[in-house]
Amino acid sequence: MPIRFEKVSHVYSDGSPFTYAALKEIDLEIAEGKLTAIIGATGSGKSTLVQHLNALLLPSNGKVEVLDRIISSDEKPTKLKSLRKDVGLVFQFPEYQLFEETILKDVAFGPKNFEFTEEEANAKAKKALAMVNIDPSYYEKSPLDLSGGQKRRVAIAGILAMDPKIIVLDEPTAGLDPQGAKAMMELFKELNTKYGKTIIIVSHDMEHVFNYCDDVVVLEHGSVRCHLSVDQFFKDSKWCEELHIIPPFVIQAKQMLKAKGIEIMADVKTVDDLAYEIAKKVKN
Amino acid sequence: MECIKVKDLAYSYDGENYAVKNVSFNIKRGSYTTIIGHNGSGKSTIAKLLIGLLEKNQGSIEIEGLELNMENIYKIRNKVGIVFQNPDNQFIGSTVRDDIAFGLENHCVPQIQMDPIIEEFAKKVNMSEFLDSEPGHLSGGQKQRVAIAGVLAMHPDIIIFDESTSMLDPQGKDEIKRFIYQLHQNKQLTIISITHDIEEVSVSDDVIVMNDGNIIMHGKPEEVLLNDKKLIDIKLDVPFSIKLSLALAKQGIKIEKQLSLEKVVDAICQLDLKK
Amino acid sequence: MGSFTLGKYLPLNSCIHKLDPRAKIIAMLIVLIAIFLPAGWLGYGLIALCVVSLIFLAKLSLKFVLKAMKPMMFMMVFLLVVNIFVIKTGFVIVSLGSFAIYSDAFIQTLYIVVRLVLMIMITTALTATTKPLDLTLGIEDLLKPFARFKVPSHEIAMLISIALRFIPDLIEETQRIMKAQTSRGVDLKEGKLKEKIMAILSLIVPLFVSAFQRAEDLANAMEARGYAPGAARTRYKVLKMERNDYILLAASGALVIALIILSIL
Repeated sequence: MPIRFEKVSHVYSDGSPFTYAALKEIDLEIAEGKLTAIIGATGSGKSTLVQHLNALLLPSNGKVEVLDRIISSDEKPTKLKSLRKDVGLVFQFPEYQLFEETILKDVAFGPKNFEFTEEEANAKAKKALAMVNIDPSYYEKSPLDLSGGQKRRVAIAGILAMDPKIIVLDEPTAGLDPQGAKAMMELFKELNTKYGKTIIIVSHDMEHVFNYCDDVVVLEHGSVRCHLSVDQFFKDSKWCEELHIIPPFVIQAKQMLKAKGIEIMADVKTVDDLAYEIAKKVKN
Repeated sequence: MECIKVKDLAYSYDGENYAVKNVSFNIKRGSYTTIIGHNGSGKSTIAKLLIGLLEKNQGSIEIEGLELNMENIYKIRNKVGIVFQNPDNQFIGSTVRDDIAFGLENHCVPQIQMDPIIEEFAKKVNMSEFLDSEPGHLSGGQKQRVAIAGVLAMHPDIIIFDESTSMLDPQGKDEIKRFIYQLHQNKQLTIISITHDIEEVSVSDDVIVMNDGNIIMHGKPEEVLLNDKKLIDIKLDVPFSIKLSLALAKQGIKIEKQLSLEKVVDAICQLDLKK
Repeated sequence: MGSFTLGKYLPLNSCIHKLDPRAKIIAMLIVLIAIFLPAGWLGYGLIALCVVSLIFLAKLSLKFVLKAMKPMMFMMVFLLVVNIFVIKTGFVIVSLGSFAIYSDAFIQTLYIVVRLVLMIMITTALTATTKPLDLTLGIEDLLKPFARFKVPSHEIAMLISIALRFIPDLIEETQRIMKAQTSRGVDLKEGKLKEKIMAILSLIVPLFVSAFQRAEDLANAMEARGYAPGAARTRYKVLKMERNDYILLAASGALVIALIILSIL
């Protein structure tokens, strides 16, 4: 069942001089089981949008349908707790939410809040830590002693341990080095394909969007500018031009070749695909 | 010629594991050097050592002919400016004006001279309209520009960018990068930029590659980046143009490795292609 | 938070706003001394007149100033109750069996309440018309003569101004961590005591970690830009006393002299 936004608006500090409409009558349907990227300039409403998915924010107007629950402005907050178990939201720089003495305890914190017993919570924590490739020898260490990338993995495991059906991540690779960022994106792809999670990622990195995501939603000034499959989005150079986005390198190379009269018709994702297509054009 | 001479430098945070191990390098006056490496490879530690925020365990650092020690530390800090990673945590003043003034105050610039200096450097970083803005109302890129103005206002000889763009959105990254390039062209400043941005590396004069506390390569970007095997060995990114040449080689197409994608595309066009 | 006006700065454009913070701080201290002089109701009336005209000149609404009293309301009521039980002089107003309420209980309470109200009014007049940072600068300058007694006036001022600079950032950080933990099922409003303690811990620990990180970054940035505690430095913001500042000081001086005379008579 898809996630559905129906005429969702969100206004901050309504009625004060600082009033600000972050979302304006958004209509959007995010497919189940896919990896969807949400992109847009700073201040376009990305963070506000994703915080509606687990009802941290309620719409000022309109409604959001998530996993047969409806989030609207008059919803009672008490019914929302169970939604937070099913929709795991990972904030930017999630390593700042670690607080327990040991890594295992920290990851088990979420499940415990959702009424799982100590044993169940620990079992879930161990499973989640295995998913993010944290070795059992780390279980009893303090999360504060880890490196930046490891901390972030543990923080994400803290959300995975709740066994959410939908995982939402706000700029999960910010501040990581390229290798760490790549490993992180591969993790999300695996969670999507192997464990069937619906994943929504807010990102600024077009290489990541192009290489790992299925769909892309572009926000602009609180409205949905377009919602396309990633391949369609990058195929038509108009989108990147209009949105002032530097396209991924494979697409840049394709466009440069096209400008020189060498047109590659096939959809290529990786540099190897591109080389293969070029080789096909070379005589012998 | 050389304005920074580092010899056998070593530093350990805990006394056991060395973050920087016996590192030696020289940097030429007026050059633009990038330092790349994974998080934890010792890049930022070197930056902090160069400006005396950390005290070296062994080795020597000489900046503009001055040995870095407790006696000379303030003289050296007059010569070296640094822009850090986090835009919020280096904004000290309550407004843009006050933040640029902070360094001037520390250097005992007479009060009556401050306003013209503040205005001059705010203009250089295109922040003239925001002189009275508070940090809460500025974007990350704008805050970093203010940090740069604050550093430039002290007329340093050397300016270090310690991952100054890594927390910014693409627009902010672009602004700061273009500004660094411009600084390199206009002034006699020596620039050191610690970065993950391989495209920035390819436009610098020199690049230092760090891994696990050691310098494993130091040279012109053409030399260093074309040594793709070594970079891939330590799992560092290589420029896309090189990736493409390597992928083409796998298909049996030999093209000379280049730093610019345009040149690789040109070379492809020179091939005997089917119409 | 919105209704809490004690100590809040109001960015208005009035002649009081433009005064030198040092003059305002000294004037406030003088008026505070005057409030404590036993000058009787006439004296209080005189002070009240001055304070109200000051508030009027500062373009502050009386409503804003009265709102500042809110947190003190409970204290005043408590004081009255205590006095009713303790003070047994004056004439009896009401008597309930063996228990009687005497008139002095009210008069004494009223005395204290009037003083308290005047004190709050005068401090509000100061804080509402002076930017926190200017206030810090004023304090720094006023503490300078005490340097020979090893009072680190500059360091105190730097500490306060940095705290003021980072309060909004820390509030934002707190909200962010709260949301992050809420997403992990933390419920700050409901739950058993043990759960509540965990909920608060899950907020406090990350806040401390990030505050320390910030402090370290900030210390590095300050040091790198040539800041050295105790070293000589110039100051960008220089305070200057003008005609109106001297008028304010003279007026508050006159007020305290008048009250001294009243209390001797």
